[in-house]
Parts: sequence; structure tokens; C-alpha cells
Amino acid sequence: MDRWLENVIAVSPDNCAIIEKSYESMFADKLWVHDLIRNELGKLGIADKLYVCEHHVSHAASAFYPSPFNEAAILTMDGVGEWATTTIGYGKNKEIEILEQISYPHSLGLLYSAFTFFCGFKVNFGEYKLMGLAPYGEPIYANLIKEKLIDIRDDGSFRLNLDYFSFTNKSVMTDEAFEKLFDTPRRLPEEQITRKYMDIAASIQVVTEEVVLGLARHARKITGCKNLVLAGGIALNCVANGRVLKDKVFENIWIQPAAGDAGGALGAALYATYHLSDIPRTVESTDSQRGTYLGPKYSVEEIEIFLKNNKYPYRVYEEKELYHQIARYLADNKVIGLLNGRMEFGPRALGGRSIIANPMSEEMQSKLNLKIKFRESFRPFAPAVLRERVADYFELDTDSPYMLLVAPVREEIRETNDTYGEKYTGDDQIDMLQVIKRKRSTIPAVTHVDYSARIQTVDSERNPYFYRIIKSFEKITGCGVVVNTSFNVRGEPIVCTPDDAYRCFMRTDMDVLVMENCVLLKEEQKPLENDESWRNTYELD
Amino acid sequence: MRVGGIPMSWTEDMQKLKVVADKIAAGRDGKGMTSCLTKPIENTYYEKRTHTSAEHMTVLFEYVASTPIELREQIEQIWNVNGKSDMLDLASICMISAARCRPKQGEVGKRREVSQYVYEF
Repeated sequence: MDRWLENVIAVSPDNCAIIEKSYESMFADKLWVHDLIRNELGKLGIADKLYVCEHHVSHAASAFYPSPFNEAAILTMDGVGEWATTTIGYGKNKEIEILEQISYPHSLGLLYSAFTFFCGFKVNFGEYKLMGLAPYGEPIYANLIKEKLIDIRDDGSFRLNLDYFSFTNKSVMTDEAFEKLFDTPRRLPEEQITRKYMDIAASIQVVTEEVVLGLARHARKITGCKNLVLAGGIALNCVANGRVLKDKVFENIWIQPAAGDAGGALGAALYATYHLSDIPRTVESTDSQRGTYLGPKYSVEEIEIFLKNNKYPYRVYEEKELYHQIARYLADNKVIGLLNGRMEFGPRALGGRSIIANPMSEEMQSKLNLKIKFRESFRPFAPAVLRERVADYFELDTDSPYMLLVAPVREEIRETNDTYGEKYTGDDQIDMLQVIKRKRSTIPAVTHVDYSARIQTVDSERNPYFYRIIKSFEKITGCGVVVNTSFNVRGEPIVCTPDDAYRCFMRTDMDVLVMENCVLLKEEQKPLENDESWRNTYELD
Repeated sequence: MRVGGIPMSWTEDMQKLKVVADKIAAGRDGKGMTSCLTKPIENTYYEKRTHTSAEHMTVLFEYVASTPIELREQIEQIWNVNGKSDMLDLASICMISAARCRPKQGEVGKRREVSQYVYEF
């Protein structure tokens, strides 16, 4: 409330919009959120003291405590917490200390969100789309952004020029000043994406990477640590993470897979645990996040009861046969929905609730985007690769179990006849599909236009089931990689239950659904009844 | 429609809040926002924390305010320890707004089921 009132005062007398927009949510919701928490906990039979953990300390705790480090520099970056938008901290054993911070309204998260809004995507949801769009453009506005919008110091600290932003006094992120600066109106959602917006996306991505790198270097300097942990929404910018890794600012990096505010819940719980109890902190050599498979799970028995009750045709495979069968479907270019074990905690599907496919197919990216996910054609897909083979395909030889690092596809597997660049000069209306369908490597479905890939390494310890599927696929095809995307369609949450999974399977062009040992083929299913209007259920993201 | 820059649809509390906020702004003479619990460092945009000044506002604290009056006491304490005495005029308005807007018993917890595990409150 203090920050909100300070904001109201700071933009006086032009504070009507901000009062109108936020008054009710402040006084009716946010101030009483503890009532809601107490009520919900009461229903679970829990009635105890309620502790509140500072927003960025929650992020810091979510990054440090589950990490494999006893000592680390901690960098958190997001839109805004109470006041902090960026913090640099130091963690050792059970203690966390915030050393320095940057405060609202100067926020890297809000800067990135302003560009997300300007490029026609939804704030707080579409930031990853902006990141995915960036490689299609050239960063020709990066200097303009640094001249006019953000002042970056050599030590990585920064300040926004509020003359160009409207989040402090309006209900939108940007207005006429932004449009004038870039000499173009804000792109409206679902409008065609022209080269201009691709260049703008590329430019803000480059600036973001520069700031993150500067912050990381400063964190190294003031902590002296060789390990870095990251959290906060900006830590989901895996391209920036890849830059920090490549720059070797730190010897080791660990990123909280639920780096956004959801992960704050985990961090707050861990912080309270270590400060209100005598429970010792145990540092595990991989990490303590358990592959981030922390959600609900369903047994084979539960799944079979669901399938039998609904009379859905399926077959059950013995374990050894199952992996081989799934691999054969993949090799035949079938698209498979996978529900296995516990659901992932965090925004990335990592083999628990995933759609998987053959990465060697040239048609797969556009097929998955347009017929399975119903999403924008430009968006890339991620590879899930056997840990021991990651260096065969990518310029990376470290664990990336949470799909939070981006690295280039190795030159040896790139297509030499790729004419990347020619289509991008002076042509405002790029034929996106033509660009996407161009084969760039031996694994085209997971090679982005700039040869980058957002990598998930899969090992037999964190997810043996998923590992064995890829291993079987490798035996048949020689390829140790599969396409891995979240099991949902655009705008919907990722599926959780067998019922969610079955509905999503039936509503799309997916060919096969695998739930633990149970396999369902689309061709054997009856269409869902009275399901014509399902796409109106969720707002597009 | 607006009267004196204030939309007519606004409640009396919203109007009062704006009037007092504008008065505080005039007294600050264009000075920008000042955060709690930090102080600037020279030659950089980083800030240092000043935890010692606010014992009730450590990084982890027990939440005890459960009435508008307790909320008022808490926010007044924050402003006092952070040298923001000019904001104290807002405390009563905030307390009344909080009391009037507080969801009634039974309203809290109303939720729309999105899926078995996701609710919109």
C-alpha cells in the first residue's frame, strides 16, 4: 500500500487513472488477502500464525535453498515486489542477506513488459513470446532504447526514463510517447507481425541481456562467490541466462524453474522453515528441486478406472515394450501427449505433462503450432535431449534440466544451404511460414531461426520414464532428441488430470495419448459430444 | 464527467484520497517516490537496505493486523520509521477505505472453479 500511495502522490495531479484502476483491488482484495489465506487454510484444518515473507526474499529463497550450493550470489529480477524490482544478495547455508537493490519504478521486468504490450502481447503472459520473436529481427533500436528509455551504469544498475512509460499513471504500459519514439503505433493483439516489431523485439532482448549481464558481473564483484542463483520473472528469459553462462561470469549457475511469482510460494515456505525451525539445510549435489516434479500424480490404477468408466478404448503395455512403442510412434511422425508421474511445478513442461514429437521432421514446427497448439506460427519448440548427448547437438555441455538455458545448435549439424538473412532486408511483410519451414539443421523442429534452442537435458535420475522414451527413440532413429512442448493449447493451463489430458488430446490433431502405461490412439476414439465451443472457454494469451 | 478533475462516479473516500494525495504532492515540490527501508548509494542506481530502522518490517514477519484500525497502526508505524510523516494524513482515509471495502464474512472464499486444481477468486 505504501508503494501504491507513493505512486499516487508522485504522478499528482494526473493520478485519477491510477486511483480508479487500483483503488478497489487495493482496499477490497490486497489488504485482506490474509483473510483469504486464513479461510483456505482453515478449510484444511490449519489454524496457526500467519507469516509474511518479503517478495524478493521469497524469490531469493526459492533460488538459493533448493540449489546445489552452500554459498552463492543471489540475483532476483522481476516487475516489482513491495518496492524492490531487482536485488543482489548473498546466501550461505541457511542465511540470506539482501545486499543491494533497485526500486520501483525502475524495473527491468516492467521495461520488458512495456515492450510486450507494445508488440501486441499480453503483459505478464506474453513476455516469452516477445523473446521467441526476437531472433526474427535485428536489434537496430538497441541504441535508441539505451539513449532514451534506460540509463545503464557500468555496474549494471539502471534507471528508466519515465517520460516514455505510462504504468505509473495510466492503465496501460506505454502511450503516444512510445509510438512517437519508434515511429509506429502499438501492434494490436492478433494483428500481423511486421518486420518493425521483430526488430523492436530483437532490440529490447539485446538490451535486457546487457543489463542482466551487468547485474551478474556486479553480483560477482560484491559477493566474491563463484556460484550464482537466479529467480524472478526475468530469470525465465533463458536467452539472457545463456548469455550469463557463456560469459563465464560465474563458474556455476542454478535457476529456480518456477522463477515467476509461483516460485515465491516455495521460497517463502523454505525461508520460514529455515528461520522458524531447527531443521538443517541439506545441500544435494544435483539440487533439491526433485526435477520440479512437485505436482499431483495419478497411478495406473486411477488412470484405468477413468478410462474404463468413460469407455475410452486403450491398451496397456509392459514397461519395456511401452518405451519402444512410443519411440516407434515418434519415428512415424506421430504427435504424442504424455502424462507421466507428478506434474511439473513452474511454467515449463519437462516430460510430466508434455506433447512430444520427432524433431527431424521439417513439417513438425508448423504442424505443432497450427494444428495442435493453435498458436502463432513463429513460436519455436524446445528440444529434450539425453544429458550424455547434449554436446553432440548443441554448444552446451552442462545440465539444463529445467529448460532455462538457450544455446546454439552445433555448426556440424546445421544445414549449409540456409540463406538466413536474405529474407530479412527491407521486406516488411515477411512470409513467416516460409521462413519457419526452411530446414536449418538435422533437427529442424527445434532449431530456431537464429540456430538457437531452449534446451532440456534429460537424465535417468530426474525422470527415468522420459529418459527411456528418448533412449528408445535414439535406438530406432539414432537421434537422441525429441520435441518437447507443454501439454495444452494456446490460452489454456497445462493439463493436470487424466480427464484434462484426454480432452486436450481429443480437441487437437494429436495422434496418440500416453498416460503412464496406457496408450490411446486417436483413430480408435469417438469424437467428444457437445464440445464445439471449447475454444471460447479461455481467453487467448 | 468530472468535477474539479475528479470523476463524479468516484466514492467520497476515493475523492478524499485524491485531494490529500495532491496536497502531499504539492508539499513535496516535485520530489519523486521514496521507497521504504533503503537509502541511495553514491554514483550508482543501487540502493542499500536499512533494516535496522523498522523492527516490525523485517524480511519475515508475523502478520497480525486483522482490523482496519490495526492496519492503520501498522502503516503509520512504517511511515514514522521511514521519515514519511507527510503521509500520515492518508492513514485515516486508508483505514476507512479498508473498512468499507473489506469483503463481508462469507464473501471471502467465493471462487469460480476453472479446473479441479485451479480457482479464480
